[in-house]
Amino acid sequence: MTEVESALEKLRIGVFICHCGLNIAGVLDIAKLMDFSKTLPDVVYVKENRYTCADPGQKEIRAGISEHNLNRVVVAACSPRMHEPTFRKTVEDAGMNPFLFEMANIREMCSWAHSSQPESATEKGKEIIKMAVAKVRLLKSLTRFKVPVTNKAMVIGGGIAGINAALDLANMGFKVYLVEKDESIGGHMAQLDKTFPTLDCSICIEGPKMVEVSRNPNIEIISFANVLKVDGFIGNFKVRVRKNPRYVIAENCTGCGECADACPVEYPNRWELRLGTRRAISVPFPQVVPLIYTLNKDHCIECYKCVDVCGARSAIDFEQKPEEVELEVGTITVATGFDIYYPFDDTRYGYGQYTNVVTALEVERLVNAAGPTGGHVVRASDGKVPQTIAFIQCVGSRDINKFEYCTGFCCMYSIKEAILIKEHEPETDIYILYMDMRTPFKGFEEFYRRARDLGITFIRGRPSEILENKDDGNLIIRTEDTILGEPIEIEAEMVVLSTAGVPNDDTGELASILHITRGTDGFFMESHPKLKPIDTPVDGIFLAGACQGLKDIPYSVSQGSGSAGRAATILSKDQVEIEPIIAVVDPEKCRNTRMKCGICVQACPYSAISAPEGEPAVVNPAMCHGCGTCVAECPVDTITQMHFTDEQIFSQIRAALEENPESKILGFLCNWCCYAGADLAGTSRFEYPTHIRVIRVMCSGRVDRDFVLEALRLGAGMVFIGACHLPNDCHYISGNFKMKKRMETLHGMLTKLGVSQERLRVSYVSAAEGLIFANTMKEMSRQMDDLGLEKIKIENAKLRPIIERMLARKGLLQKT
Amino acid sequence: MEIQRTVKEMYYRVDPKFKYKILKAPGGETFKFCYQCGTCTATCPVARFTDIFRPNKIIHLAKLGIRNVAYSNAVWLCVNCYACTERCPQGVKVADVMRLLKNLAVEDGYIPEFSKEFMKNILNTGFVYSIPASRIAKRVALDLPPPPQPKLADLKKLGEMVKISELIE
Amino acid sequence: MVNMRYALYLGCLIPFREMNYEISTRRVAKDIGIEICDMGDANCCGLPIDSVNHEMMTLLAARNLCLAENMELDIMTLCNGCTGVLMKVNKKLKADRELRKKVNHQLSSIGMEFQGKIKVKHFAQILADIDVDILKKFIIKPLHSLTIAGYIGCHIFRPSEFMEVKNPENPSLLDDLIKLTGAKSVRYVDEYQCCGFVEGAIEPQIPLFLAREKLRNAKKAGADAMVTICPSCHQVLDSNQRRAERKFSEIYDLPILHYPQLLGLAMGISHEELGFNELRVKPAKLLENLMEV
Repeated sequence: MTEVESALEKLRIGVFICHCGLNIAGVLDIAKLMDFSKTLPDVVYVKENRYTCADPGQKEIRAGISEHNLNRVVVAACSPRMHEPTFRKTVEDAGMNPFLFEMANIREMCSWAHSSQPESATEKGKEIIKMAVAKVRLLKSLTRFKVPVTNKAMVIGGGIAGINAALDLANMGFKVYLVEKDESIGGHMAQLDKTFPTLDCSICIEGPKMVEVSRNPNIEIISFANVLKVDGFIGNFKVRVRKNPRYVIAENCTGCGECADACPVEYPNRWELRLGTRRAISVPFPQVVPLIYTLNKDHCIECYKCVDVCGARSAIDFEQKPEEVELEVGTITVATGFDIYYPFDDTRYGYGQYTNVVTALEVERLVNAAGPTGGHVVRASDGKVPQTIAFIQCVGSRDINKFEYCTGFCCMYSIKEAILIKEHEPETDIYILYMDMRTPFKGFEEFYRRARDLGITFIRGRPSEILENKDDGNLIIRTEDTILGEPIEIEAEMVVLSTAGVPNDDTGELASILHITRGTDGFFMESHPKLKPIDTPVDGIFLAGACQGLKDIPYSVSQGSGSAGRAATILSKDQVEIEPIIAVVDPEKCRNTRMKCGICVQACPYSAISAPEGEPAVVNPAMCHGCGTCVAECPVDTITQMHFTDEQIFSQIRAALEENPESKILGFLCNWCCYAGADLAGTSRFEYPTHIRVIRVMCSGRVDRDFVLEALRLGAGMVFIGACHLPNDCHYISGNFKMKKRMETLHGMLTKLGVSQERLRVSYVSAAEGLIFANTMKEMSRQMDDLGLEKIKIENAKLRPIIERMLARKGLLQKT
Repeated sequence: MEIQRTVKEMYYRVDPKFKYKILKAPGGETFKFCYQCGTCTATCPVARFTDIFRPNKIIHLAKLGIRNVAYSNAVWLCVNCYACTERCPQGVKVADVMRLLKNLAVEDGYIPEFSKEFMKNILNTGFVYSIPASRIAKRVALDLPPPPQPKLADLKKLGEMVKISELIE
Repeated sequence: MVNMRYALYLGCLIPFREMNYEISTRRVAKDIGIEICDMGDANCCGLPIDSVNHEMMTLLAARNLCLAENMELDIMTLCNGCTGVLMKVNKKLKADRELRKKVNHQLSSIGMEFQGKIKVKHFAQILADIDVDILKKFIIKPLHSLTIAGYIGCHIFRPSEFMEVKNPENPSLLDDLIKLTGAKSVRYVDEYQCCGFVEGAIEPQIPLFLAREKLRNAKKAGADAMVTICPSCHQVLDSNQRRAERKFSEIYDLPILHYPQLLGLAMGISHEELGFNELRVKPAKLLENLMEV
């Protein structure tokens, strides 16, 4: 309906208050909330539900809409990030436009975060509902856009998870681009000897899968390539990929290997963990897919022997340049895997100093029959087979000074390596020094018994240091056997460190290219750790494998297939619906018709706005991502963001600050980072004081200067803006930068006008930082107490006339 | 051959309340993170050369509230070298917990003789050891300035602030 | 000459039992240009009382800090234990408002107030902070013929949360200072293990075992002498050496010098002026060695 129509239409608002079992009802006084809601203007129906999201609850909403002719609905319950889509569907099913619905977050941001302060939490709950009702009165009907879907998929990372994702997608009929940064697909699984608990030969089971990938007509492997840039949105991603030069022409290379045989130069093979070498032109291991050789220019002496021997095929091209391609895909699956921690910085264990201390991955290569020592586990110092080997578990893991998490697969792989070594050299004495043996899944506990059956000894204790005997290279490990309660020493000829699994070095870069977040442990963050472990908050981008969190092979395979299923829900459709929360210009008020402006064009990170000379600016709805930065930057307030208009936000500000404004913190939290972080604080039950009233915006860039001024005019105690971390985390690329600059200028002005500098605060809080949000709230409450109500009132009184003049000039001063 | 053994009631009754005393005291909160890895005992120089001092065992005894064993005997062997605290992977301030247990023991009346001696010396001379006159003479002979002489009244006052006399009797 | 002034905090051991440490320090400091002001009213730092009552220790340490604040000088310590206590209490009082309020309330009964104006530094750290090129100018008789095993002790660098020494797993503070004198500095097994001095009051055998480890390993590494920067460590290694030799039937015969004594030799000061005759394990062979060169 048009603006005029909705202004004339008589509002009939329904408020549904959820108990959420005891989650909300156990803290907030639902009866009081109901009574209060009935007093709000235009609210004609108030109902409470035990579980609003469940079927009975949804039925009641639909019944309420039809029986009471409701044309606006507010559900006061959990976070909109949880159930906004659920309830939008509910009201849509009842015949109402889904965008005439608003959620009041009285769980994550109220009952869960203030469970020991039920009275002030109830007061806060009332105001949250009041703010939601104020906004819902001004909401307009919107229609979702339908955009076409490119039914091709991209999988970034060719390890076992990525391989499975690609195969499943391809076998469903979708074209898949499998992008891999190394020369070959296969990942870490290809480096392993045997896999636990069955002791299957790793490359024997992975090899055929790799070949299947290369044979599948729907999969295009783009190897030795990096992802540079990702633009677009669900169903319509544009990915720029750079193929790095191998100096070998892929189409001409037959993989015969004669060039490698002829090459005189050898250099340490990183794939073999530098335990073996490779030629300057070579493949890292024999089963590479795709079978194309690579020339390493850093080591090539340009003797041209390879060119000679390649002959008529002319596959070698010293002038090859990197090639950039732009690919259009509908979904992206990230399956970039993990790396391991090389403890060079830990002087206690001597890795890198003592010759016979190695990591477990190095032992995989040694025990592998195709490895650099032909399958013999020997010492680096003298090439002899060690009589006593000690495995040290939890190196770097479960350590708050290094990596707090448990890696999860090292207990199993150390048992595996010990069994393999024992079966190879039965006279060896093997000790595994552990803190806990974690062997939970199918066949794992039985595997642990198998190790004890072979006489492998388990000692419970974490060694404090290793000393080296320089004469024979033997190592003395000092540990406590905690079962005995005595310090003991073990002399071992070789020590294997089971080190932590860590995120790859380039995870941060990839995260910013894709605009996905990482958790506090550095791995990519999923939408929901229990219910949506494969999705990311960015629609259309999925996670699979260890890059989402360390896991073993069967779990990675499962997730790979799972992500293919998730991606297929998008790719199998011709169209998907896009949220209509976009920017719209009012052509009559646009300044660009009167003078050269174009500020919105500059502000948009997606180049979605064009402003030809003399004409009003126009926003391309398909490219607009809905951040609202242009709305805040526009000097004449002529751009509006649907569903987050200035009027709507002003109404929330006014509702929040109607009573006792000086004791309140008005917070603008960005949907993707800070709002999520605040939700997490509630979910984790990190308590904080009840002063804050939250207004959700899609991006911190949306926070207009005028919002802060209006808040202070109304007497707010403090104003808080929560944004994504700089420089790379903003979901809309640069909204937080624009906000930062805007607020720094504003802050300077306010300080000059006598406002205490703590009263306007910008913080950067990620979706994983619930604790930081809670602590920030505690700090701000302390600061507010230190300032005192009187001082705040005095400062506000001084400020008010100045702000009123400023707002009046823009026509924004509310007529009372 | 003689089999070394002691025959008495060997089982302990866990006391859930004792750990709160440690958790409340400043520096004691971290002891709840201990997951008994044994790194502290493996590092400890005293553990290497005695039979009864095992820091992780003492922490566990304290957690279980087996207080007599926790603070009446072995804990006094801790030399406070902080090697354990440096290496703890869970950030437990082991040496501080040892010190806290000693302080709690003193409050409960367990205090070794030498500690009483030290405190009395400090109140009487300002220093931890008694000072024979020969030493003072030696300083003069070696042309050194006179030794520091703290105001004993000050030290007495400070001792009263913490009621030290009650603790050392 | 560097131009520095410090308040010298001696603790309990040095003024009465390790006077040679004090003598050598005063002499070396004077020659380098560090002016030493005596803290005439200083009391025990409180470390031995920490096990009895933590609060009492804090008050004893705070009193010393207030004395230095009244002198408007940073404190220079010579004992690792005192350094540990004074530095930690200083930092804790500066950082924790609540604690400071409480302690100041108690200090007011003796008319003192902690203001957090000064810093605490061990003599070795003060030397390490001076530009090495300036210090090199004082080395007129570099001790090239000596191989020294340095024993840094423990409280000067642990806990690394409070103490200000780089590389807490492998501190090279004393190593660098030894190299400054021209002598060769060797590594040896368990060089960062506590000396166990504190244990002496309860179980005197423990410091003997710990002394043995260090003396044995230093000797194995080829050291002619060891150097300490703490009077307690010195007592364990020097005064106890003969006892350890008797108990374990081993000979070490390793002179243990205080660092300023080593530095003083390199600065051309005579060994009598550095208090060498106070050392229990006589460094006769060492001095002969130097004379020959």
